[in-house]
Amino acid sequence: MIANQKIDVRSLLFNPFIRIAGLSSLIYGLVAIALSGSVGYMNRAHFDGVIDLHFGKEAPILVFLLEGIMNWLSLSIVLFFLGVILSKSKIRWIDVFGTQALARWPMLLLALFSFGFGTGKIAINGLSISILVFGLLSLLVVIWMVALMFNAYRISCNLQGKKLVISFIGGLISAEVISKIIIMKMVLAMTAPPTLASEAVVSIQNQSDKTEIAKKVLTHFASSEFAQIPKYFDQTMKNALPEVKLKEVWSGLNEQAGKYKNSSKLTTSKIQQYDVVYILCHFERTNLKMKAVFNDKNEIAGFFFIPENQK
Amino acid sequence: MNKKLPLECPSCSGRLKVKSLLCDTCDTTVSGLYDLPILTGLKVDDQLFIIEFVKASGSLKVMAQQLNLSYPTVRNILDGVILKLKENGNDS
Repeated sequence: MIANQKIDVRSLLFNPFIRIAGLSSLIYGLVAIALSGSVGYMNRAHFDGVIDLHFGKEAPILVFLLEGIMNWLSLSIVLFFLGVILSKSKIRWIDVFGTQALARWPMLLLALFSFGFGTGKIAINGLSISILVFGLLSLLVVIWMVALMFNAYRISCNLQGKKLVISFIGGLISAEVISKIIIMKMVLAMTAPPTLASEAVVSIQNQSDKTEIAKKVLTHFASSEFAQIPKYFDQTMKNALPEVKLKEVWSGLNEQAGKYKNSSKLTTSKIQQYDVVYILCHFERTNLKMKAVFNDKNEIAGFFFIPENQK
Repeated sequence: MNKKLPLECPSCSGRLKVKSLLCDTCDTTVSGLYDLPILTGLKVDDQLFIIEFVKASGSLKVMAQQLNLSYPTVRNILDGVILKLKENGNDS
């Protein structure tokens, strides 16, 4: 019987699933996937497909870990469903997922190899011997891994002959496509800067706050509620224009331009890093613009009443 | 020397049957025509597997532990044996 056979190296390297499957293979496999992702994070080696390794940009460690998980899940799910459809045996999901996880362990070796052949060196020296050596090693490791995946599928789903070979090739190609799409979307989502849309929302929100503050300040002036105004100022403005000074300014304006009637047009602009809000104020004898300059904390850092045509 | 029970006719490859049985205590010979038990159609390894499986109360998990094999490997062996038994059953 098989049990009585000696554990030979070939069987251990290419088909350990004769002796290990289920939960134990799942645990060992997940540890190998996590270690591969961690090593990949250190040298920017992305496992961006079921049988892929590419050196890419820096990303959070979670991206590298999830890449390994997505690759494993993509192939395991596809092969499990193929097994359920094609196999006459009662297959267990834990065997399919466990053996496929363990079959990915050569990727850890590949991630470690890539340290010796430093990615920076590859980029600078172009097609050097190190690239050729690394390329050859990668090819051998990938072939080895595919052989492991094949045997894992054969053992866990109890398939043989053409049915086994054709379904495995089809499953591998399908899983490669699925994993590529998922990983591409995931990496984009996790590494992309905040979208323009979200920036625009924040900007509009800030702008809206500033115009509201400017309107409130003018309303307080019109209602002679001068004590309410300094709370919108930054510290310098609070010192320069306390309640008493504000009262004097407003009285002086009403003497020169006539009594305040109402306001109409509101405009905004940006001067250097400051947002500026203008409100056109109608007095009995003339029109003036209230100009409020805001800092990035939405505090008024400059405040003026200027002629209508002045900026 | 472990003699192998012949199952197929060396002349026409047909399935052999039992024609006589001998009691080696009293040297009595019983003649007749009997079918071989269905399990004898299996390889010795498969017969041993069935014996171990029965001893393990039909538990594949226990079998896997005893044989130091993975669960799906043991299940695959069992499925193979079942298939052979079905084939042998159809032949007879």
